[in-house]
Amino acid sequence: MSDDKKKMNRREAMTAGSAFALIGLAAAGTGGALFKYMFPVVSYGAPAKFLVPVDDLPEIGDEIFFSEMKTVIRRQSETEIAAISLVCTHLGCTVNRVETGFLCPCHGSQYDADGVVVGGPAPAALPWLEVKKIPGGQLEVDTGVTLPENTYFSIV
Amino acid sequence: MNELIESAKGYGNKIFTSIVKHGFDNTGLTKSKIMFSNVLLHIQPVKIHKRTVKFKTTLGLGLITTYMFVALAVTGVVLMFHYVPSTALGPDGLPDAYSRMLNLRSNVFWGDFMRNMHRWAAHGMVAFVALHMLRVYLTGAHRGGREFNWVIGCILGLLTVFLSYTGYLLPWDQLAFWGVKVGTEIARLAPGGAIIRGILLGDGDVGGEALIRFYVLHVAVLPAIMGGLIAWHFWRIRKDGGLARPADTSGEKQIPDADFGEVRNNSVFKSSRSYKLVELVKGNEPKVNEEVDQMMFAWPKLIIRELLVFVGVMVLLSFVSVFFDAPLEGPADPTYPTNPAKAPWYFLGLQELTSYDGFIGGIVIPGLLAGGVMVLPYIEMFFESFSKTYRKNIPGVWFAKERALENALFIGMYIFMLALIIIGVYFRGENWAIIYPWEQVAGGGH
Amino acid sequence: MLKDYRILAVLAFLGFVLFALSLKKSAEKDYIGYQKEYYSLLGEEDFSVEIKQVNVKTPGSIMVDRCQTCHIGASNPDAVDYPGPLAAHPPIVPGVEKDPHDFNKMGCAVCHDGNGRALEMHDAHGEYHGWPKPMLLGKTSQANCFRCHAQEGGELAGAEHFEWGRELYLEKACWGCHAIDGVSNAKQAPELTNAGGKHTYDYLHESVIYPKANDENSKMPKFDWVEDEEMVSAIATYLKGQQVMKLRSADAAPIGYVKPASIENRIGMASVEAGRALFAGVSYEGSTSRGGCINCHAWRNDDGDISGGHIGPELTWTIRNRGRAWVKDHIVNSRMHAPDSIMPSFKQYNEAELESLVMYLSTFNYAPNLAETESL
Repeated sequence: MSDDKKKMNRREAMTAGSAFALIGLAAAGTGGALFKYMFPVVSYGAPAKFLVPVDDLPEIGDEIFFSEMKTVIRRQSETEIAAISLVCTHLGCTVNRVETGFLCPCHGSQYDADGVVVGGPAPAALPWLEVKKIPGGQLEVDTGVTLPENTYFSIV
Repeated sequence: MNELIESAKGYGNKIFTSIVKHGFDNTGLTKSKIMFSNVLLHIQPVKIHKRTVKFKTTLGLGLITTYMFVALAVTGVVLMFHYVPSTALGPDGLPDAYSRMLNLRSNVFWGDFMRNMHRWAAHGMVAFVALHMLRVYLTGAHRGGREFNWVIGCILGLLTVFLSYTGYLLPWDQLAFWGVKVGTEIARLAPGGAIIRGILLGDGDVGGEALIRFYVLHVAVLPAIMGGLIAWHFWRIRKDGGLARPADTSGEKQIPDADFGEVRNNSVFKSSRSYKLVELVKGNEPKVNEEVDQMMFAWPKLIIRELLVFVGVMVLLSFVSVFFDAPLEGPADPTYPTNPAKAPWYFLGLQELTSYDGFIGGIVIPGLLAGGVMVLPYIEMFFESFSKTYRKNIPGVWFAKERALENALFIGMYIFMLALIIIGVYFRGENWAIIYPWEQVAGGGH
Repeated sequence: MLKDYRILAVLAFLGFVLFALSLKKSAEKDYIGYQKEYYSLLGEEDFSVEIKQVNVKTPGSIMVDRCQTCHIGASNPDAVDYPGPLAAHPPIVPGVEKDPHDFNKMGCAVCHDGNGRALEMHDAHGEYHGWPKPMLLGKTSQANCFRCHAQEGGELAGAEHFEWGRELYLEKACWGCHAIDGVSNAKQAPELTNAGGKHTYDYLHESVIYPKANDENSKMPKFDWVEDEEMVSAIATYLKGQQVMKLRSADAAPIGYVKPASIENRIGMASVEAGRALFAGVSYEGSTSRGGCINCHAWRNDDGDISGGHIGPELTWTIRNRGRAWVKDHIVNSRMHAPDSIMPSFKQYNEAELESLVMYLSTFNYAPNLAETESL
């Protein structure tokens, strides 16, 4: 094989290689872009975060239920509150508040008043949620952030 | 340790060869294997006439149309994830289908780009189908055993227009509503048109029922029919011996063999001619046809050229989609027509004709054109058979002198339709009055 | 082959660039800049840029409102002085300590219209061709109070412009020709019960000033008072508020809002004063009966000074010429004695109200000074 031909072949391979590399990159990028295209950025259902005006908080030691958001807000003291999720950690049913704590109607999971599992198939305690003070004198409860039990937040 | 690596290599090789069953050397055998052992490539023959890859032969128009269809299918499926064919009004007073357009424009990443791609590719496909048909006729490729494939092609063309038209309604904006309204009113003029219109719209007028029907036609029924017919169209091309070409091509200037890539001869006969002799040629005895010399391996030249056209189509579509947004008017309002209310551009020629006379312009002329063009090769055959005249047909040659009359008539028809469309798009303003194109008003036609 | 590969490489490069441009176009949104600016003004470092969507719950389904993606400081009192789109919304109900409107529940488009789903300014403000609901700004947005609040006979705090428009609608006797459900059922002119649902504010505003602007066959007179922009704006706001599609049904009014009972208070005793009020179209001692003759008819006082509209005939001598019974007939059914009359029929008047009008018309006693006239 002559040198000229070798040189030619090499140039051909390089041009073809760069062309295919670019096409491949664009194809991969298209895949990535389509992934982002499918990824939800807004929710049309109940939002993961909801706002509670400071004035609407329960009395000390009392609880207030937000059934749509599947959340209970508990006030510990003048300055401390917590939000507990009412979604069963087993298979996502909504638990009921009973005297002993929480009971799941679907498969009988039992939790105590702090959401710790005391019986049934539930693998973990009920998640405690993040409460954040946002500008404008309101509290934002984020049902997407799971925290361990007895996580109270200061509201001052 | 080395043994382990060897075993792993062997195992890897086995997996690879179970998927890719050929090597990548440049022997004729491998070049053939590449073509017929790949599900995508086996549609093409192993060996092609050298003419096939010349740009001048087809201008790539059929291929471009096919790629537009592929692009439409992909973007269409992608768009379906964010679309609902419903006219139910939300509390903001917007039909659901229209709100989805707003979503594509605002919160869906790449949503506007996907919609633009789909919209422009749809218009592009209609245009390229028309150009493809013009190319086929002007090169005489509709004759010589290919008459029926021409008919399939014409059906595909009508399907393309109908697909584009059914998709036109889906955004449910003013443009869509009044474009479809005008188009279906034309159908009413035909004998039995009211029945077809009723079946199509599912109601007395364009409404929620029409939307769901157009949607099902657009995303399921028509693409399925179209896919089948495209397969048939391609299969017939291969059965008819590839692209149409004159009987004798020895005098034509061809791309040199070297440009098709080197072919190493690994035949036991060690003669560069022996392999070429093993070809199917007409007649009942082995003979050396000079045309065999004009045949070449499809891999890699043809495949690279096809890829080239594909990338070209993608570049064109992306360019248009990045710099021009698909139109979206206010939500459909059956009480207030846009002024002017124009159908999509490929129907504006018809709309222009109907503005002179509804029945003749809307039914007779387009019916004659569509039907006449579809059976055109048979009409030519008819005249040849009964008048005992013999008009020489030279397939694969542009503007053959022998066919000057036919070509002139066909081009004339294209110019006629094009002129009507240009008048309809650019020279018609409010209340269908004649205007100058620079006084353009919004109200359809695109 | 090299040539083919070269063309392919060039095309692939172009394709790649265009692909990158399409991504850039999708990724570069104005709201990202606004949110960054907002958080930097707040001094907040830990934040994520996101689309703020409010799903406004209505009886039917949800209404999507993404306005606060840019107008991010709308309900933050600290953001009062923030620039442009970031600023806090001024209070809606005057004189209350805490505004009852929660933008996190009701969004912005409920009051201001526009396109709640869009994230690009021109799209969102409805500034593109064919958008049916351009934005309502300032006082005119009071029209949309009544998508949620009941409006029958109520006085809604903060909706003064709208309430004035309602007053004008009665005073200018619009109701004499146009019907609005619950106000009047006149048949002479297009019904306005859903005027705001069908038309934009600009359309209504234009039609009040120049009736033929949107309907060449309109028979509506061009009134003199349309020169007063504030007045026209108030009436247009009132008309824009006439929407059949409500976000709250009558029995699901917003919390803490009591729907006022609709009261009907008619004139029971005929008097000249009651007639004068009816003639002028203003309320008489809290009565809900309205007239407004003066918008079309003129009359002369004792000195011969003429006042009133020029659309109908002058009424100075009517009682003297036609007699009381004829005038009463004419008010109730104008076509009874004058078949080509364009005057609306005022069938709803009771006997006391008709009597009051006739009594008032009888007080016109201007007589031209014949000697003076003859000397001319």
